[in-house]
Amino acid sequence: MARPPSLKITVPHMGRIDLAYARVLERKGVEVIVPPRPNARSLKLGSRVSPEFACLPFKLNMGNMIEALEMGANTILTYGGCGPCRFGYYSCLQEEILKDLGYQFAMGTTDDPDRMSSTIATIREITGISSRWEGFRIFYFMMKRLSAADEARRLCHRVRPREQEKGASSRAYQQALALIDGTSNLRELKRARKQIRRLLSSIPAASPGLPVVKIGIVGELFMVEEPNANFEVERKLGEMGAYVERGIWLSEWLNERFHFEPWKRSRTRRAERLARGYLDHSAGGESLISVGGAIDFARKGYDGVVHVMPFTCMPEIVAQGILTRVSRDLSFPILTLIFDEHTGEAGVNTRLEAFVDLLQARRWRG
Amino acid sequence: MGARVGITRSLLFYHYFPLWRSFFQGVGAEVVLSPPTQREILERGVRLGVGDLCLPMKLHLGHVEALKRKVDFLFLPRLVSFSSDTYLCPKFLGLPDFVKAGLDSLPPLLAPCFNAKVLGKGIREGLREAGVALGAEARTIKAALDEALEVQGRFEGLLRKGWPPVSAMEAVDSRRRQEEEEVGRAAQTGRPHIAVVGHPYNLYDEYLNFNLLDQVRGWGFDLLTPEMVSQEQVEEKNALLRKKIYWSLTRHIVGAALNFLSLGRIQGMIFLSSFGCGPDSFSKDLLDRRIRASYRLPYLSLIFDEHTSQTGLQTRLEAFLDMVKGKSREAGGK
Repeated sequence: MARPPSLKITVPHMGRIDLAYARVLERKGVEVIVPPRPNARSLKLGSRVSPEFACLPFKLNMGNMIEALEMGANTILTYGGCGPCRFGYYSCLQEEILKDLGYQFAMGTTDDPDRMSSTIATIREITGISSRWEGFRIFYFMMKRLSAADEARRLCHRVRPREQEKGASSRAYQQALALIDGTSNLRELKRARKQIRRLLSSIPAASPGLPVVKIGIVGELFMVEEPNANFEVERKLGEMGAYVERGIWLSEWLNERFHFEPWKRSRTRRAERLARGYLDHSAGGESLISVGGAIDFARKGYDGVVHVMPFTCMPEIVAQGILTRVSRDLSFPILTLIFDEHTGEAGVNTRLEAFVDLLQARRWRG
Repeated sequence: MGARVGITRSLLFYHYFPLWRSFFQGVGAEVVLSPPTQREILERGVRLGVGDLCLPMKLHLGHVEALKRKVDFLFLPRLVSFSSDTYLCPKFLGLPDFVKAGLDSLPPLLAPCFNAKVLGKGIREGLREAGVALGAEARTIKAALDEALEVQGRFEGLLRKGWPPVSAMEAVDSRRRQEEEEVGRAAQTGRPHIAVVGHPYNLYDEYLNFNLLDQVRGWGFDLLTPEMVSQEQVEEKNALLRKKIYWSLTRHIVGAALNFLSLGRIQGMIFLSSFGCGPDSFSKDLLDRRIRASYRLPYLSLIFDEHTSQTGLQTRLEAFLDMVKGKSREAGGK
C-alpha cells in the first residue's frame, strides 16, 4: 500500500490524545501538525465562526483546526459518531464552515467510532503500512501511551493536596508526559511508567493542616479532560488541599469503545448499575457515567463531586437535573460548573473555593 | 378498569396522540389531557426546569405538574429512536428520569421504552408493556394495538395532506368516524406558499408561538410544513448531506426544508426554534448556509424563549411577510 504523498495531518485536541498519536506517526514518516493546546486564541477563532449555541468542545476543535490549517495542515482527522449528542456531527458542520471560509483540505473521520478496525485501517492508510498486525501493534502502543499519561495524572492528583512546594506535582507531571512521549515501544514505556511512579511518589509532602477532602470529578469528557477549557479545575482543587479522583478517563473511554484491553472493568456498566432508579437509560454522551459516577463517589465516602459540562450539552443537562435530586437524596454536595466562551475564571475560582470550604467544614463537624 | 391515564399536551402529543389515545381507550382506560399551554403552565415549567433545559422540555414539566394530581397513571414514554439510524435528542432518552428527579408526588408512571434500534422495543412492544401495567388481557391489548395503529395511519395521512395536527386528531377520533374527504380546514387553497419548519411542539403550540401559523395564513399564504413531506423524500434530501442527520425529528425537518427549497414553489421560509435546542443549533446552521449560498429567498429564523414578547415576534413576522408579499408583487405574483 503506497503512502499518500505530502499528507500533513492534524487532529484537533481531545485531552492529551496528541501524546497517543503524534510522535508515533512521525516516527513512521508521517508529517503531523499538532495545533497549539487550546487557548484563548483558539477559542476566539472557533467561536467566531461556529453556531452560537454549539457546545464549547465544537468551538475549541474549530479553533484548533483553523490554527493547524494556518500552520500548513492539509488533512484533518477527527472523530465521528452516531448521536444522540452532537459530537458525531461535528465534522460535517466543521467541514462546511471551513470550506465556506475558503480553506482547502481533506477531512477524514472514523465514522464508526466503536470499531477499532476502522481506526487501524486509517492508521495503515496514513502510514502506508500493509500489515494488519503491525497496524494493531501501533494502535495498541498509542493507547498504552495514553493510559500511562492518565496514570501519571492520577498519581499527580494523589500527591498534590499535600505537596510541600506548590507546583511540584504539576512540574513532575509535565516531566512524566515528556518521558512517555520519548518512548518508542512498549518495553520503554514500561520502564518510563516505573520512573514516573518513583518520580511522583518522591515529592516531599507537608503534614496536613486542614483535612484533605476527597472530591470526585464527573461530566462531559472533553470538558473533564481539557484543563485549558475548565480553568484547570483539578489543579486548583488540589492546591486548595483536595484529593481529586476522576469518574472518567480518556483512555478508559477509548477502551470501552475499542476494547483493546477487553478484560478491563467497564466503568459504564458499573455506572449503569449504580444509576438505577435515577437514570435508567443512557441519555447519550457521558450522562450515565456522570450520574452513576457521582453516586459511586457518594457511596465510597467522598466529600463531594464537581460536575463539569459545556453550556447546552444535552446529555449533561439531563444528568444535571438528576444530580440535583441525587445530591438532595444522599445529602451529598454536588457542584455543577457550566462552561462557554463567556465564562469568567474568577467566578469559577470563587465557586471552587466556596465548595472546598463547605466540604472541609462538613468534615470538621464530622 | 377505567383507570385515568394522563397524557400531556406537549412534545410529541402533536405527532402521536391518536395512537396513544386509541390504545389506552382500547384497553379500557380513560385518557386525560393536560390543559392547552397557558401562562401558568409555562411559568411553572420554567421554575421547575433546571437551568439550561430547552424551552419545550421546561414546558413539558409544567404540563406534567398540571396533570399529575388528576390521573392514576402518567404516560411518559422513553423515546429513544424511531429508526435504526437515528436517535431522538438526549432529553427524550432520559425523559422519565429527569421528570421524576424534578417533580414530587408523581403518580405511577407508564414509561415504556420505544427504541427502533433494538429488536423487541418497537411501538407494539412498548404499548403492550403499558397495557400489561394497566392490567389488560393479551387479547384486549392486541385488538387495541391493531385499532390504534390503524387510527394513527389515518392521522398521518391527514398530516401529509397538510391538516393541522389538532384538526386531524379530531377527525380521526374513532368515536366519530368522519369521511376524510370532508374538507375540514383545507390546507391548500391555491394561494402562495410559505414553508414553516421546526419541531412540532414549536410549530403547533399556539400559546408558545402566539398562533404564528394562523397569522401567516391570515396574511394570505398557504403553509407547507415538515409533516407534509414523505419519509422517502426526507431520506433522499438527507443523502445529499455529507452525513445524514441522525436525530429523528431533525432529519425530517431538514429533509423537508431542503425538499421545499428544491421544489421552488415557496415564497419564503420560516425556521421556528426554541432557545437551548441542541439539534436546532446545528440544523439551523446547515440550512442558513444553503439558503444563503443557493436560494434567493426571504428567510426568517425565529428562536423563542420564555421571555419572548408577542409584540417583538409580531413585528418581525409582519416585516417578513410584508417583504414576501412585496417580492411576489414585484415578480408579478398575486
